[in-house]
Amino acid sequence: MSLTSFAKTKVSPPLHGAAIPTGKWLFTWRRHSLLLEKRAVCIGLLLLLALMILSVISISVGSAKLTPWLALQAIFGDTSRLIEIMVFKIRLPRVVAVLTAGAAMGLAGCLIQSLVRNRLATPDMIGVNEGATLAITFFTLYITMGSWPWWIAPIGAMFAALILYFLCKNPGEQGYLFVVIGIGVSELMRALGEFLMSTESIVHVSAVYMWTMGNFVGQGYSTSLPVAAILLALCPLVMYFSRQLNVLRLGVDTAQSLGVNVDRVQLAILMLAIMIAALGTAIGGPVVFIAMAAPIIASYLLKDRIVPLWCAAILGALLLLCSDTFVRVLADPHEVATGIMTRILGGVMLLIFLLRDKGRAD
Amino acid sequence: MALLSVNGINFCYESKAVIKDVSITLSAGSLVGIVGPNGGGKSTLIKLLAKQMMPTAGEIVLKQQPLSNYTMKQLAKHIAYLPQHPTIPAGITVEQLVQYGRHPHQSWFRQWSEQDAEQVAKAIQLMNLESILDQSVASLSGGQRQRAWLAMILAQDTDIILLDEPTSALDIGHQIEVLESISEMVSAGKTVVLVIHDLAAAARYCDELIAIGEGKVIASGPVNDVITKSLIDSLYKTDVDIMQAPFDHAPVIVPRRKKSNVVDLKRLG
Repeated sequence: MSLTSFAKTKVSPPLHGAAIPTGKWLFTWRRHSLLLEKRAVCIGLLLLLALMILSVISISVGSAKLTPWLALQAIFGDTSRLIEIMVFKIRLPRVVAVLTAGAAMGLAGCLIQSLVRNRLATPDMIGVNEGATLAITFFTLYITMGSWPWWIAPIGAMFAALILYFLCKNPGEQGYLFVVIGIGVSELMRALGEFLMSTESIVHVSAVYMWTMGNFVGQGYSTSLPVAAILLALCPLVMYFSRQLNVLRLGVDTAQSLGVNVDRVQLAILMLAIMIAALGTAIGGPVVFIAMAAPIIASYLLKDRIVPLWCAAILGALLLLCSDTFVRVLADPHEVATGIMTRILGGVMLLIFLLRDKGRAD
Repeated sequence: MALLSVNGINFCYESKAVIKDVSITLSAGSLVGIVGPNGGGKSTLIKLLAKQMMPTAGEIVLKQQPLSNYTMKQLAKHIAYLPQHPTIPAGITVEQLVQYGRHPHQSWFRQWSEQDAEQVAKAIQLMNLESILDQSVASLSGGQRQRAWLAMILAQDTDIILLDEPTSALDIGHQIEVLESISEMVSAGKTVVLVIHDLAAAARYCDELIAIGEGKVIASGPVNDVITKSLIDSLYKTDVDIMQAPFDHAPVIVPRRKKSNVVDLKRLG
């Protein structure tokens, strides 16, 4: 073949920008197509694996130690009756409760942080969790008398969010106004809850008080399973809005010009986040730190390419399970509220975050 | 046939009239510049055209349909709008940014198609971004960054493109880079409306100008009808001289000093 004819066979230059977006997997079926972020899928799977390993470890450690192998055997029903009771009646329910609450916190934190575009805007900062706590405290002390009113949590959270909305209709520059007023609402809700508890005798309220510190002792399936079921039912909605949430990263006006009905989408995502955070709170109380840390770590792992909703959920479960297991081992034979552990971690994290921001402000 | 026509719109913000009885028509394939003093209502007008806000009275008609009849998603297939200070998310690459432009054409069950790939590739080619596709948008120079945003808008594949001061924060080199890119878009068949402060650049690149002052259309039409000494004097309340550029005889506007200052300087000298 001569050189000239070779040159003629050369077709138009390849279009740049690759047919498939870089770093994504494209799945097509007829006219339908689905894009998955490779990094998010891989890291998500790794985190899930870590979560499973940690769960087995968490089941095996405690005042009566098991080997992880024994714990696994117990889960698959191949041990003594005593171990079986310990695993199935005490440790597994606690692990399930912790995982559910942690995932809810991570997911809700990621939703609100992304929506407001401020890392400080998490359900525990803006009063949503405290609103849920107040509602549960009130109901358990005066109305349901003992049986755990987890279902009232979303209403309490919604109530706190409404107060926030009326006080601050404009979220301000990067949502700072929203965060600052949210802290005020949060304090108010907490004070009201403490006032309610102070009107009762200490014996009567000690369990509730422990719970308001963030405590997973004795949280059985009766709360965590219905909560987990509702959370799973909300997942398709979160998935639906995740596309728009990613476009909202470009700012409200650009998102709107790209066809996102911004007002409606923001409202829907906020409602979802409030529901999810409240349900997470209903299990083990208002645990701080998880909702802020999980999305930050997830964003870091995904190099900020997308809003890391699912990785944040898995990381939330992972972080809370770590804290809970740690506190259980460390404080043995006493019981220390898991929330105290996360509060310490959260305080350090918040300081790091604010000090970093201070550097930027200078 | 007018592509977009604005029929006597008014817009009030906190009971102050910002846009007063503005009527304009936009024909296909032109580059239209909106000029005028700060606070005169230029940005508000372009936001109204983009349906970022709704006019208090009057009507905007796009392809024989009032703008209010379009959902945001439908409208995003006809009109693309780039705000003056768009937010750049951390960690986002040029390629990802351009792909965002396809959002109005996608849905949950149709996240990437042949057309998406084609339009993104075309936009990247037209805006010359091939060499910086994998760089983070935040790390780019002002001109490159603006070109990346323009590519996103192009990938949206709309007839009309609205740009709010796309060159305002750029030095002259980057300004020319961006204006040339915008001319490319017009040659590619787009109708572009841009808010622009630099009168000389507006005169050189635009086909038509609309001068807005105090919320009203002061003048509109071909560049030479709008750039006249009397009009510019009154629009900006400043005495100017209009000269011709040596290269292409495009009008160059040179403002004079206020008289009082000149007298003061002489006395000092």
